[in-house]
Amino acid sequence: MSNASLGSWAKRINGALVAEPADERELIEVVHVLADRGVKLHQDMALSRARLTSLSEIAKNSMTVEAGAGWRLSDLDAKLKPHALTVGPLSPAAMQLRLGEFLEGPWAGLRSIPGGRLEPICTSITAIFPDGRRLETSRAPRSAAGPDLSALVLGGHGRLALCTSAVVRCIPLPENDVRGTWSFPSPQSFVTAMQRAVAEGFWPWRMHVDPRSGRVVAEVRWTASVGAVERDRELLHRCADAAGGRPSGEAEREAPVDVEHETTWDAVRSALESKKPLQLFRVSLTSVVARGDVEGLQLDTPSTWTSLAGRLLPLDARGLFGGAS
Amino acid sequence: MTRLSNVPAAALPPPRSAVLDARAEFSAAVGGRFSTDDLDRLSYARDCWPLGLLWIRQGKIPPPPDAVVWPGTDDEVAAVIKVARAKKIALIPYGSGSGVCGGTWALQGGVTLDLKRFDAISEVDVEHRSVVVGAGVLGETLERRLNSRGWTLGHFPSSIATSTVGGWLAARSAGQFSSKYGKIEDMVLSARVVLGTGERLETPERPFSGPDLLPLLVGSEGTLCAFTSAKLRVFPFPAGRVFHGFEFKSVETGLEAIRLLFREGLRPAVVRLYDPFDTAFVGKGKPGRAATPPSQRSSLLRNVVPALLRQVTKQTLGRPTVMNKLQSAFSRSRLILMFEGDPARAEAEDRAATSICRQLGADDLGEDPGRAWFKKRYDVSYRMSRLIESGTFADTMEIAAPWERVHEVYERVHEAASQYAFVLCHFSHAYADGCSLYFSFVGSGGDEKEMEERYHQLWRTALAAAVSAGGNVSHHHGVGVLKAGAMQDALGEGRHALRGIKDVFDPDGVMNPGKLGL
Repeated sequence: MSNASLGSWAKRINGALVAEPADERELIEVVHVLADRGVKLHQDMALSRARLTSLSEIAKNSMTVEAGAGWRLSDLDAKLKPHALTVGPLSPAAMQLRLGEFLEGPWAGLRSIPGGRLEPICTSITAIFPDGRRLETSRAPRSAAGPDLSALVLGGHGRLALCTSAVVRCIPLPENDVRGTWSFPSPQSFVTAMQRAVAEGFWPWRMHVDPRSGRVVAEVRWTASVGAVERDRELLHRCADAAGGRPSGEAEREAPVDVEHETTWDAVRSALESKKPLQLFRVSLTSVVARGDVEGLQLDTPSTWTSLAGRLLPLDARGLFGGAS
Repeated sequence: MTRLSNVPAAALPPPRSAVLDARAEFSAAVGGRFSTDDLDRLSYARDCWPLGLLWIRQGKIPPPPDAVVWPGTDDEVAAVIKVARAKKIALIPYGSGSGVCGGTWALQGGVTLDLKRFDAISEVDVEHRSVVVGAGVLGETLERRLNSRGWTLGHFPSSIATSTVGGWLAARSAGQFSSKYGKIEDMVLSARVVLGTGERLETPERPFSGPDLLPLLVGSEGTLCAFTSAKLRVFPFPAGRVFHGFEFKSVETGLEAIRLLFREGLRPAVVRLYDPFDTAFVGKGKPGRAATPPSQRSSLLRNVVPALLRQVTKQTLGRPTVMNKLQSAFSRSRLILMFEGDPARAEAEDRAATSICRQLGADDLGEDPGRAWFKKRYDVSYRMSRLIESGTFADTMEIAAPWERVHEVYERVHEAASQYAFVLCHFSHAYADGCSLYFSFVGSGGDEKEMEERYHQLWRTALAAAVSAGGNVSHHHGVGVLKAGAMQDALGEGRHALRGIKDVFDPDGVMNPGKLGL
C-alpha cells in the first residue's frame, strides 16, 4: 500500500506505515480513509498524534487548559510554569508520556487528589470514534447526566475512541519543596499509617520507602503551598505516631528499577515484607503507583484487557481500531 | 385484587395482555413474588418527580407498570430479564422511588423490578476500608450500621432516609458532604450487576487493564443494567467536626472564597454558599425546631394552613417576575463550611479557610449557622411537600459549571427562570475546577393546567440557559424523563456512542425504555 495514496498524513517511518494527522479534522479523514480501504489502525498502520499540539488560553480560575493529545506532559508542564501552574504531581514515567498516551494507556489518565481519591487529569475529553463521529464530554467539574462516556477513552488503548484533546486540570505551582522522614516498626504499621493519613487528606508528591534496615523508613516529599505542607506534616506525624512510627533521619535514596506499576496497598506491604525498597507516587486509597519490584499492573506497556472490558469491542464493529491488545 | 375506591376506574389502565400472558413465567422467575394488584401498580407508578405530584393533585396518575416483581438474587433478576427479552416487555429497576426526574415512570408499562430485597450489609473489611452492600439497602440504614461500628460512608443525600444504594449508583448521586468524600462514583470500588442481556457480572477493582465498565454503568438509570450490590469505600467515623459561617458582601465574593479554598488544597466536607435572597430569608439557619413530616402534622397544619397558603401563593407566585425583582434589594451572601475528620486537621483547615474568607472581607459568624444547618439539613424535602400542598409547584435544578462560568450560569438561569417561578439558589459540591449550582423554583398559576404548562416552560428555559452559559444538565439528580432531551442535545454526536452501548448491553431495549432518551 502506498502511503501517498492514502493522504498527506500517511508516512513511512522505518518501513512501517504511520498516520500522523495534523489536527482533529485530519484524524477524522484518517478514520474514514482507513475504513474505506479496510486498513486497521494499530495493526496495519500505526497512529502518531505528535502533531496534535493545540493549546488553548489557560482558564486561570478553574486552573484548566485545553491541550492537544500530542503534548508531552513534561513539555506541557513547562508551558504552564510561567502561569504558576503544573500538571503534577505525576511520576517520572508519566511525565514522559504524551497526553493521549497518558489518558488512553494503562494510567487511564488518573491522578490522586487530596482525600485519597483518584480522578482523571482532565475534566473534558474530545475524541473520535471508529465511525468518524466526535465525542466531547462536558467541561463541568462533575455530572450526573447519564453514563460517563469518557470511560470509552480512559484506559481504552485507543481501541474504542481516539483522544484528540483534553481539558487538563492543573494545580498551583508549589511554593514549597519539603522532605521529612519517618520510620515504622513494620510494613503493616507503615501501610496503616499511610491509609489513615491519605483518608484525612495527606497528599505527598513522592515517597521513598526502604525496609532493609529492619524498620520501614519512609522519606516523604511534598511540593505544595507552605500551609498545605505544614498541615500534611502535622497530620502524618499524628498518623505515624498512632501506628508506632517516629521521625527519623535520612532514608536510603537508591532508586529502584524504573518500571512503574499501579498496585495495591496489600502488594506494597508484601514487597516491603520481602525487604524490597519502593518509590511510591500517586498515592490514593484505591491504589498507588510504585517503582520497584512489586506486583501490579505494569504501566509502560498496554496489556490485555479484562474480559469484561472486551464486552465493549462491538462498539468498533469493523475492528477499525484494531480490537483489544 | 385490591380495588381502590378513591381512584377513578379509568385512571388505572388494566395490565397489558402481554404481561398477563407471561404471568406464570415472571412469577416462576421470582418464586411467586409477582403482582398485578392495582395498589401495587399505583404505588410504583410514580417517584418523587414534582410533575407526578402535580398530576396526583389533579387526580391524574403517572403511567403505572403492568406488574411488579420482587427478586432476591442475581439469578432471579437474570430470569426476569430473560422472560422480558423473550416477550419484549419493558423492565423498570426500582429502589425506593426517591428520584426527582421520573426515572422510574413506566412510560411503556411493563414490569417494575423492585430491588429492595437486596438488603444485605456485610461487616466492614477494616483492612481494606470497604463494605459490601445490597442495592436495596436504604442510605439511612447503611449509615447507622456503619456508625455503630465506628465507620461512615460519608454519603448524605437529602433523600438518605428514602433512597437506596442501587438508586444512588443508577443516578450518580451526591451527598451533602461530597466536597470531602466525593460523589457515589468516587465511593464505589466495584459493583455486581445484571445486564440487559441477562448476564451477571462483577466489575473489577483497580488495578486492571482496559477501559473501566463501571463509569458506563453508574448513571445509566436502569437503561443498561440492574445493580444488585456494590463494594463501597468507608471512612472512620469523624473524631472531630468544625463548623464556620461567613457572610460576604456579594455572591461573587463568596464564590471566590470557595474557589480559593479548593485552590489551597482545603477539603471541607460541607460548602454551602447561599445567594442573597436565600441568605436573607431561608439560609439564616437560626437554631430552631426541626420541620415536621406531613404524616406527623396536626389537622391545622395539614388542612387550614395549606388552604390559607394556597390563596396567598396564587397572588404572589403567580407574578414571579415581580417577586424576583424584589431580590435586587439584597446583596449579602452567606457561606457555611464544615470540616470533619482528624480533629487537629479539621481545626487547621478551618484556620486556613478563615484566613481566606477574612482576606475577602467576610464577616465571621462563628459556628452557629453551620450547626443550625446541620441540625435541620434534611428538612428541605418536607418544606417542598408543604409548598406542593399549598397549591404551588416547587422543584429544584442542580447543575455544575467550571469556575469561569459559574456566575454567568447563575445569572442566566436566574433571569430565564424568573419569568415562570420564584428563584433561589445556593452553591455547593465544590471542586478545584468548579462547583454545583442548586436552584429552587416555586411557581403558581391560574389553574392546574396553566401551572403545568408553566412548569414545563420553566424547565425548558432554565436548562437551555444553563447549557448555553457553560453549565451541564445535571450534577446529581440524574436525567430520567425530565432532562432526557437536554442530555441528548448536550451529548452531540456522543449520543450515538451511548446508543451503541445500549445496543451492546440491552440489545432488546427492555431496560427502562424512554429514560436518558434511550
